[in-house]
Amino acid sequence: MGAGVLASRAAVDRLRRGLARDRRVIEPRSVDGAPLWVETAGEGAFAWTLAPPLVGVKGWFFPPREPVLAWDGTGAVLPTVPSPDRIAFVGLRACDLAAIAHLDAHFGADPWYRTRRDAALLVGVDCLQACAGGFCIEVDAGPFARAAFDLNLTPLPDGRVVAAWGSAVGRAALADAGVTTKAVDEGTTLLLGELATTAAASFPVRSYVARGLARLNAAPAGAAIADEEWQALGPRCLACTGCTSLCPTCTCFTVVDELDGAGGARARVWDSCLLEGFQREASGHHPAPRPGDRVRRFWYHKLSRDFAGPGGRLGCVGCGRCDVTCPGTIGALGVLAALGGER
Amino acid sequence: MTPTTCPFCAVGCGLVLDVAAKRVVAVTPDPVHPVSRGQLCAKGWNAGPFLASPERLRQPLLRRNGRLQPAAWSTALAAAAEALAAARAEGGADAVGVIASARATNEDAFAAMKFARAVLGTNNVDHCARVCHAPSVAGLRRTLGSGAMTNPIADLDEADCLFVVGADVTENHTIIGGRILAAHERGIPLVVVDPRRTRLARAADLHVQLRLGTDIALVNGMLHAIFAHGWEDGAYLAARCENVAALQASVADWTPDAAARVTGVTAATIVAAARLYATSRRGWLAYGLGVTQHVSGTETVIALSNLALVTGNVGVIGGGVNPLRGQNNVQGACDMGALPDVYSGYQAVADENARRRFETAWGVALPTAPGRTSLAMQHAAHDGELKALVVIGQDPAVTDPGGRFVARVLERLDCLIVAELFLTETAKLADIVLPAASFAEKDGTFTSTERRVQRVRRALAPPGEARADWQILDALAARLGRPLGFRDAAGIFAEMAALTPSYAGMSYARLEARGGLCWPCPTPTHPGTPRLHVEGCVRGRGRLIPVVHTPPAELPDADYPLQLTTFRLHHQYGSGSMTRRAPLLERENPRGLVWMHASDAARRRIATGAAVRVRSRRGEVTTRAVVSDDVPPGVVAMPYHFAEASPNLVTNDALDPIARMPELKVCAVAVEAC
Repeated sequence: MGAGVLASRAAVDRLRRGLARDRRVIEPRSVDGAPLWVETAGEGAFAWTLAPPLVGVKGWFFPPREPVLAWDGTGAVLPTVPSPDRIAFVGLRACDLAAIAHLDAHFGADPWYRTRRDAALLVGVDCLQACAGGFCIEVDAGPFARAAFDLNLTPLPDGRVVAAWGSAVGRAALADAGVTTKAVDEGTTLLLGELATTAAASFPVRSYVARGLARLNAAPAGAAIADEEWQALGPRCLACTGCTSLCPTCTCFTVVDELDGAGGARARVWDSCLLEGFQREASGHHPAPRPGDRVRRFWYHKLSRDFAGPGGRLGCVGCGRCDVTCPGTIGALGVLAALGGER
Repeated sequence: MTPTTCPFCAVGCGLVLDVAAKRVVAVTPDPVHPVSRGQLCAKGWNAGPFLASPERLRQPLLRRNGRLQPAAWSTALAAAAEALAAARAEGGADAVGVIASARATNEDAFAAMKFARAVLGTNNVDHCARVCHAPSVAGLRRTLGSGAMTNPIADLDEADCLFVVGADVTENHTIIGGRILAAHERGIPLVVVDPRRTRLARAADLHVQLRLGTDIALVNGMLHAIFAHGWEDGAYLAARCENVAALQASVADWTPDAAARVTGVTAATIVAAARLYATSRRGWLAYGLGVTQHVSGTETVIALSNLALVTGNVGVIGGGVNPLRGQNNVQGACDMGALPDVYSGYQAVADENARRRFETAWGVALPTAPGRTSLAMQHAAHDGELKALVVIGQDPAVTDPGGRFVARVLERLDCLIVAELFLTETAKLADIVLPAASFAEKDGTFTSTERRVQRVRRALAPPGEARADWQILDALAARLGRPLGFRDAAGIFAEMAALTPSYAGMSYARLEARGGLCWPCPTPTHPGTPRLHVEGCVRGRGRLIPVVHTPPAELPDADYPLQLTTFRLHHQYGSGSMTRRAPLLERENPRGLVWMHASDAARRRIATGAAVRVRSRRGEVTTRAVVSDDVPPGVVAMPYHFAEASPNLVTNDALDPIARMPELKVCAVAVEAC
């Protein structure tokens, strides 16, 4: 770990082009008005203030469908661990970096995940301003990055950029691109503190979040929230799988055999714990039979300290994607508003 | 990253397809789509797996020695052309017919109707709108002059009351359903009229749980209450409607008490529903197949139109009479003229001027008499008058009523030609099966329930030798000596737009923008028309038409003491050929497929999961039971996605006399443990 100061944002452009020499560079860009992760080769203006894309980067490391066993029908088993291209994500926000730290801890040495993850270099960019619907600050995941990055950039108002490196690979990337850094002086450190304070102040006051989290985490587990509260939320879950698909920390998968003649594959595919079939047993017995039971379980996993991940951080990183995609208006803020007495 | 339009229901959500190594690796919601706004239902999220299914048809199949066997395109097309020519030679042009698809693009539907009319020389062309919203088209054209949804989906956010009739919106049109739930939570009153206790019904301020098929009695009782209390919009009626006195007279006897006796709901509930809807400034009325799939379907649509007109809710922001169409492109397939009596844009084949315009454009004489509906084609096949049939992307053997009749008549044809993604139950009966491209493998447009025309974009190549429907029809037409002359999807759209006033101002260039355009869009600078009837109804004055309650064609009796109704599940779609190949959706299927009330179940010693037989006068089906208070005593309900337990083996094919819609929503059955 360490940090230095880049003279200008042009140095970041040099870094991006440098990364592109031996990596695919993926950056957020506005396409038809929608922020998306796009392959850019490090070219063009970097989108410093673009809101995080609705669809995050989880699928690059943990694809929606991944064969974990394949055979051709002749008795031969085919390799399934990928040989991924070297890539660099430039512009990851603190929420997504915190989520990747969760994924790293969860998948550990899983060869499919690890191979893809090892091929990726992560460059974060701190948020100086709250995004619409984001509440990373309430769950200690942002708006300044804390984890998982190889490099992290904080743009300063005077045009300079503070670059922190979290790995040797990140530090080498700066050098390889011919980007020089100066030491972070006391004035810059003070400035960073002011920026963090301003960024924190830009979040709307959502006192219900702390109230909801407190109720959810009151001991003994589950005691503070009556069953009826969860059952009232249950019918709002239409079981669309949107929240679990977009959630950057959701990792549940099921296994599907895809038979094609004599050959075939066994693939792991994203699952969703909000589906009734997720936990239905062969007998028909269901440990979480009512939609409200499944809603409770999901949010308990996301918001309870019992399931905290690296750095003691909650499974929810406050990105707000579930609130956008939930047709039933029970994304994280929707649920916390209900638990916190705001709706 | 290819932005496109969802292929399931008619809400018209925006999808983004992510393709790698010739495979759709992720389907995600379009964050800037004006309708879906970053949301999708479970079907949309799971639109990927069926595309890559090993069961996709990759080459033509030809029946030889009783078995479907792979064949070259040239062989299959030659056989199809020969069979169609032979059928025409033997029985005349009307001995052949085409069933178009509400699942394929507008370009495919336009090609199908041109193929039927200009190549085969018959108006025998229809599609599955016959079994969903044909009564909406027939009813609303009579009362308002246009058979489509009057107001945009977004208008429900502008309403002061939401009135939902016979529609399970959270399950079947999930993104609209979620928006209704959200509006209701903001305090907008919600009234739900449904025999079943749906999710929306449980959330509603008022659930009017009426008996099956008694909607007209309910509406007439509401109209009686509205006139009695002076809740009608007198100024609106005077300025914009006709036949007011006749309507008022017709409901004079329909006191809430009289309506209560027929509907089974209390008079107080009927008056409360009338007050909530009529005294709100703007009421957004939406309805589904619970209204249309009855022998009284068209008249029920007219009754709802009466209700909206009397309360001044047509042509206003936040109001409207809004049929929620079923398939992604059922609105478009109707618009394209894949119907026996109209060309594209609802131009009647009986209208000489319209016919001449199409004859001039296509350089061929066109048939003058309206053709047969899909069900009439089945009966003609039964009688030996229809000898060959082309079915595109539809599975009538599962989705049409009348027991084994459909399969029997399809087998009786001299030649059945099916273009499909998969070997469906209907395709299994075919003589020639032609592999079709899916929505992700071709360019085109879909028209959503709110008349929104949106681009469908090719993200990957079709599997094997599969082709777009319009390409299949073009090749077949060439074999018959009269090519359709299509080069690409954009060219078909341009030809269609030139012949169709409501689409005349649209082009692929204009449809590039997210959300496309709503018809009517008559000129290249016209912004489209999200809301109809604003400056007066399309037909002039809104016409009030008295209608009377007609009971279902079959009522329960000692032999068949229960009423069966049909419905749809959120996690399945149509006959399931796409959704049943998505592992998460298929796993979500319930343990049983007939829902029954605990009182009916207990009497028959049936518990959830028990094997049961459902019998009607037309057939029987065995499945498992789900004991639930979703249905009232005396009513059982079955979803129709599952060929292994299809309610259409028992449903009634009694027809609405106007729209020829079969009464899929109610028949008499017996249920017993087995």
